[in-house]
Amino acid sequence: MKFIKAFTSGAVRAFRSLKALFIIWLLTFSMLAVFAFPLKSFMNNALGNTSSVSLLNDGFDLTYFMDIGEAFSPLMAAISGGIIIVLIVFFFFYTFLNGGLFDSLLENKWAYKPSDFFRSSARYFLSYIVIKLLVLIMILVSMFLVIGLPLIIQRASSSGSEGDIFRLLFVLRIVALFILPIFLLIADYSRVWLAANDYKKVFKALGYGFKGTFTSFFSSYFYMLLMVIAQGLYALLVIKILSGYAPDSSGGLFLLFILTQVLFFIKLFLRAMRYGGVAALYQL
Amino acid sequence: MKRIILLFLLFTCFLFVKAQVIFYEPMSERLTGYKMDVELDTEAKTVSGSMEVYWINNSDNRVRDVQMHMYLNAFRSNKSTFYSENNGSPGSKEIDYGWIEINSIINRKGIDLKQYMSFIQPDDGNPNDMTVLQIMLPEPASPGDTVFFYIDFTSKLPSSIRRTGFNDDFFFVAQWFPKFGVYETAGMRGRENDGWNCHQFHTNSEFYANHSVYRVKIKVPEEYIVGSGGQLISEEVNDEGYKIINYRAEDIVDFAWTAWTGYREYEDQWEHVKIRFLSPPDREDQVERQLNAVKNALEYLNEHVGPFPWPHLTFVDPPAKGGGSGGMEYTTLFTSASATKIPEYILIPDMVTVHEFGHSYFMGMLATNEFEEPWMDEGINSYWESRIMDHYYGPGKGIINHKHFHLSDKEMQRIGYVHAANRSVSDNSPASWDYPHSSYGMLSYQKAATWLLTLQGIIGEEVIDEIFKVYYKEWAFKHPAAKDFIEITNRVVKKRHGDKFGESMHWFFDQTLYGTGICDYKLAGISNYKERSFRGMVKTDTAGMVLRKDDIARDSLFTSIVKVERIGEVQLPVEILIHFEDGSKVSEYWHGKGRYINYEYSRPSRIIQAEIDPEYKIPMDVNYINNSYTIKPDKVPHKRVIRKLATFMQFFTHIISL
Repeated sequence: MKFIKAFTSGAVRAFRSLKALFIIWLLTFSMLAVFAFPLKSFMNNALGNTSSVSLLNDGFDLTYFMDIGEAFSPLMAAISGGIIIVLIVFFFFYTFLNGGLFDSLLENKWAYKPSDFFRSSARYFLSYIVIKLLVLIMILVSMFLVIGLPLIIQRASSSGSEGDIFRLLFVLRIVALFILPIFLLIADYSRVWLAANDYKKVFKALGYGFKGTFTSFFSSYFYMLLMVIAQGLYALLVIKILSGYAPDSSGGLFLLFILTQVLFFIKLFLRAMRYGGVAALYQL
Repeated sequence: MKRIILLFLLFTCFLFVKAQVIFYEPMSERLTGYKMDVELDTEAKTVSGSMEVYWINNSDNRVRDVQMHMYLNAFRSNKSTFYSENNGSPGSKEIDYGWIEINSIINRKGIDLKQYMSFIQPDDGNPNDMTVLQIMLPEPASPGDTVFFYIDFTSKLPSSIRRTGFNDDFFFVAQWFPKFGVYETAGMRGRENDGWNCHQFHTNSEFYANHSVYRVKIKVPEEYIVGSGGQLISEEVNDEGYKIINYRAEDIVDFAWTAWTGYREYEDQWEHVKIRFLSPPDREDQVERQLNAVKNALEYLNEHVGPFPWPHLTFVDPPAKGGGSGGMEYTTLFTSASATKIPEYILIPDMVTVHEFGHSYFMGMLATNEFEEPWMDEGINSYWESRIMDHYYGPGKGIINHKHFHLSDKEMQRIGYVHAANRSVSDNSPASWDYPHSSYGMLSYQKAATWLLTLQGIIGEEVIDEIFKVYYKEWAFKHPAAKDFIEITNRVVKKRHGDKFGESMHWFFDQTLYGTGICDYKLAGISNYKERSFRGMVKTDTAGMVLRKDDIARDSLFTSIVKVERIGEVQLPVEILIHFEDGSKVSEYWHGKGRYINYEYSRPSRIIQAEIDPEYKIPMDVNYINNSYTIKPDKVPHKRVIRKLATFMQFFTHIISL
């Protein structure tokens, strides 16, 4: 069965691409350090020798963060203002790395070289950006049509009660969840096709994305739906674990660091499994 | 003369005959009274009918005019003072506008008074504002006289609900009838001469009125559910499909009501008070918490301030389409603000309920002038709200009570003030519409609540409770002013603390209520030096200059210094707690008047930590972070936060990367 094959092959391919995943993790971690280290230095300076950090031991304390002082406000403003730039930078960054990852998943062998990873990343970069942007636009438009528009209509009608709006929102979210895998499949099939064929033919790849999605629709769709649900549940699990763990010693902090990075690596693995499964479906 | 007596008897009948008396002994002077018979036109969005009203001249002067509020005229044009102040407009369509018209007005002699009517603008002279009506009396009212008016009026409700108005079939009918201003006598609230206190309707102002008796008959289509600040006397449905409801209310400062077809009714009881709660049908999940919140507030304020005398209380959670009427207070009727599915750990709906109920005391009973001294109702009430919320929902958790994120009501008040950019732009003395730079809300709610919490921290909870009990006892159902509250504070503090805080507490009020400075103390540092035994050259008679080592070994002693600074202008007494390495602690008390103070100790153990205001009794301090100093700062908590924040960024950026 294609569906089962996609799962097993996706997992195997992701496993065989551990080297590529390690490169992605390392680069991501380096990028993040650029963000985290200045923040840490700033906090050290702003807090000086205060003992009021103990306020944080009972969960997030708004007073504490508000009181860190005037110096914190510009920093927060810079962070919130710069968040769009951070998101854009990471968007390009992951797009770049995706090229190498897809190539590694298609190659499906242990001996995949880091140099090949970066070569593929560079080769597919521009094409992948176009595909991602187009698919993102499709997702945004469809989400507006599926969630935004009905809500606007419902709110405009004076007969709509709050309960109706909540129920409608719940149903629309479910509908959106079922629609999302289609766009992800289009994006993944397009990228697989590009990695396997001519990397310059972006729109042909996008065309194949649609074709691949709807040719073996049920196998592809249910595979992707389950992957989306699995990743969603994993995200909830991560939130649960991290919110429940509040170390109060340096050793505990180190454990937290290890834990967060292991959890992130599993996240990378699940994403690679998703891509790998689509690559397997493409090659079947 | 016979006609006068007859009219008087008739009027007396309207007050007492066929009516259920709530208080056999009036709680207030009842200088004004209203009997109204009105009908809600749900299509035209009007309330129209007749009213018989009286005002008693309790001054020693002959009074030549009467002034009445015509609040709904604020919605008559975009040039009214209300809309001029917020640069807004009632709307674009005719139905959006609100207004109030007196169709006829006669006195008890039957004289038509319309010719004596004119609109005045005592606050800003805006000729387009028609919210204060002056009626010259054909004959001045002598001391002790009762002035009667018989008025036919029509009130058109506005569509954009700003405390009052309609949306579709939802009606919140407030500030809706011609209402007397307050005739103040010389000396009252610091006033020099007798005169009317009748302000225009401003964007940033609420109200001021006499405690009155209301008897109100309301006619609405039978499918409407009505709630009001009155006690229900009777309700019947006529053959034409209209519901006719009679209410009576005593000793309240305003009468408001609401009508909507969608309300669900709930009832509860707290001691002698019958509680009626009107809520939209989709908010069943919020009903129990709302009822608990109001019962908590009733219990706490009864215990700490004074009794709630009325046997009835109605509160309303307006539907989303009536959201503009949420969070308002009319003594025995108030509105909350909620939404369906609000999780239990978010206590904002409960907070709004507690706050709005609190106004039954702070301006309902203690009827301060909200126009001129808004901090006296909003600030004092926010202070009590914070105490109630943090008492019933957990210290530090009165607004958000989630296991990973919490916020107390006290902190919410404090943050609102100490982190406002315009926190020093004004003191608390301006009239509500005169607060500069949009500081009205912050200064009259949060700053006032914060300095009251600070006062509590300085003089103690028991003492501030006594202040409020005396304040209630002496001023309930009257019109207190700031000076009255200060006078009671001075008296009670003197009684309880003697001269500990000086002759009076004016030093406190001058810096907080009437001051704009900020309060900020800083623990500037800790120094520890080992005390050394003497070693040096001394001149002796026999051997001349010799090196001498002191025999007394003092190497085990430390000289430790704690350096405390006052950065802000506000001078408040503070406690400083000093921790020594051997576990011992020393508490110091500083009056805070200088710019700095050093505490020096000579002990075998060095100081490892010191804290100013360790129990956070001075919430006016704008920065708690600099209130402490430790020689071994614990960096784990904030590293933990940064690490989690970084992880969040790591996951989030990956998730959105498709």
